[in-house]
Amino acid sequence: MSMRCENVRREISNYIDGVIGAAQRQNMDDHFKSCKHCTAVLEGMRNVISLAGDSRAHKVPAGFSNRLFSKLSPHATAERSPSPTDEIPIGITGDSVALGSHLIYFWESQAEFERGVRFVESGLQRHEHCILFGHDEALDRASQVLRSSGFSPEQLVRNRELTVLRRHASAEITLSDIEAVVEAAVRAGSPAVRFLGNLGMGRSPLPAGEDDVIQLEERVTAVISRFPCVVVCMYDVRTLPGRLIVKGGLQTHRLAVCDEGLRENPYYIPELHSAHRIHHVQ
Amino acid sequence: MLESLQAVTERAMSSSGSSMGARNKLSSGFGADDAERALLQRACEGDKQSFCLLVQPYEAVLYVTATALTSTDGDAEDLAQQAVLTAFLKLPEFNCDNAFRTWLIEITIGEARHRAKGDSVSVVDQTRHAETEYLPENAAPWLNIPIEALEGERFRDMLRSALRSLPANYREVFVLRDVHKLGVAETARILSLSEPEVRSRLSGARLRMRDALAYKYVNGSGGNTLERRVS
Repeated sequence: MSMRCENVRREISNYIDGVIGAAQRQNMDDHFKSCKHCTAVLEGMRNVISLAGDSRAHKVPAGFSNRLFSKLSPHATAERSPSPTDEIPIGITGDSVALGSHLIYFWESQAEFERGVRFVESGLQRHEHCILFGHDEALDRASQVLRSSGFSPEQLVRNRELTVLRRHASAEITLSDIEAVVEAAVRAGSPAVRFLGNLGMGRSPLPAGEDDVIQLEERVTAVISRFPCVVVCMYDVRTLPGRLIVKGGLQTHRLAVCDEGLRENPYYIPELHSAHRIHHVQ
Repeated sequence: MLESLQAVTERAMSSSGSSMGARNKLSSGFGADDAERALLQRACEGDKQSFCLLVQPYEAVLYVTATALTSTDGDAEDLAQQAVLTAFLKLPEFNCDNAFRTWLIEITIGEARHRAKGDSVSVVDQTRHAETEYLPENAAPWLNIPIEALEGERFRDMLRSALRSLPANYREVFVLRDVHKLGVAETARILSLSEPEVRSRLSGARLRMRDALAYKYVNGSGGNTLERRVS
């Protein structure tokens, strides 16, 4: 005796999940052979289940990720300065710069190096997350400068106020590290992120080459344009070749920190960045 | 040697494939991975950065759960954000032996139910549908909707509308079982239902979803379109 359509349809969901007895399954199989309506219900249900369970069905909209942690921020910033501003003091000179700025600072003497580290000290005092980046020697040296100024880099790192980021030989890996740290710091409520990059040739770990350095500089500009971040790149003029100082230093930074203050850099080539961005979108 | 957020970030990245790729996965489980346990440990101590890194791979899970349980996209975002805050505050209660993904889903469901009770926002429709039997409206031959339809914004909108047209108690079951692929026992535990209740609601939800999506997928010269099928 064949099952009634009504009884079959009631059980189709369980049939698909395989939670009905063997005898009933046999009866339903027999029924489907002769009933195109119940077969249509079965096929439609299977189709809908496979569509709903596919990750492509639920595309996360643009901006969702950035807003997801927004309710955490008041908890993170309760003890901090009340309102993040669009400009922050760079500490090296008396100037302030807009968030998103990418600055070049050439140094030669120990005093000039220490002056550059003031960019980080100023940020730490303002409870802005700071990132020290570069080759091993520069990181050690910058940590010593911080210690001599009364900071404890170890404690700051434990408190998530400072991140010490060692460069990789590959710009690609380095860049994804930078992006992940900046993103995490912003999501955790830091009103601004300061990034002090150090570049010197002949220091471990070595960049893959000059092109690698230039690529990194260009892409850092693209990354920070999406976050409330300011980057200062310290170039060790004692070790860097002229080509790198021109291509990596002068042509990729809009602003230069000079003895007398902050200067628009006349050698900056904005087209480099736009051409690069188009290339990466494709 | 200085410890750094970088180390934490790297561990998070390597444990979930690439950070970008992992974000859109719906099915990735938590597992007993050491790196994630380390993140969890730090997050439990109140470290928000570790918490963010821990949650990031499950953003798509939060998005789809919140979307299915609300009536508007704005409410969905608000619900997901609230769920993240609640998860952060309740994190010390999380048992490491369980799946973090399931726990986030559970928190989101709890928040949605809490809101529906308080009715502070027009979040979940209040009609806890009576458990009456639902029989299909449309038994015309089914024309398969190919998986490629999901590439189009329009079909994704239809799917979302179909889900939101379900009574709230059916939606919950459908999302847990057919979207997130949780088992019947787990679904029953999260929703405080018996297993037969889960199966019965799931059947009703699937039949309704099928009727709501009885479209004909037409591959025409103007691109792929969907037309309402005539019974």
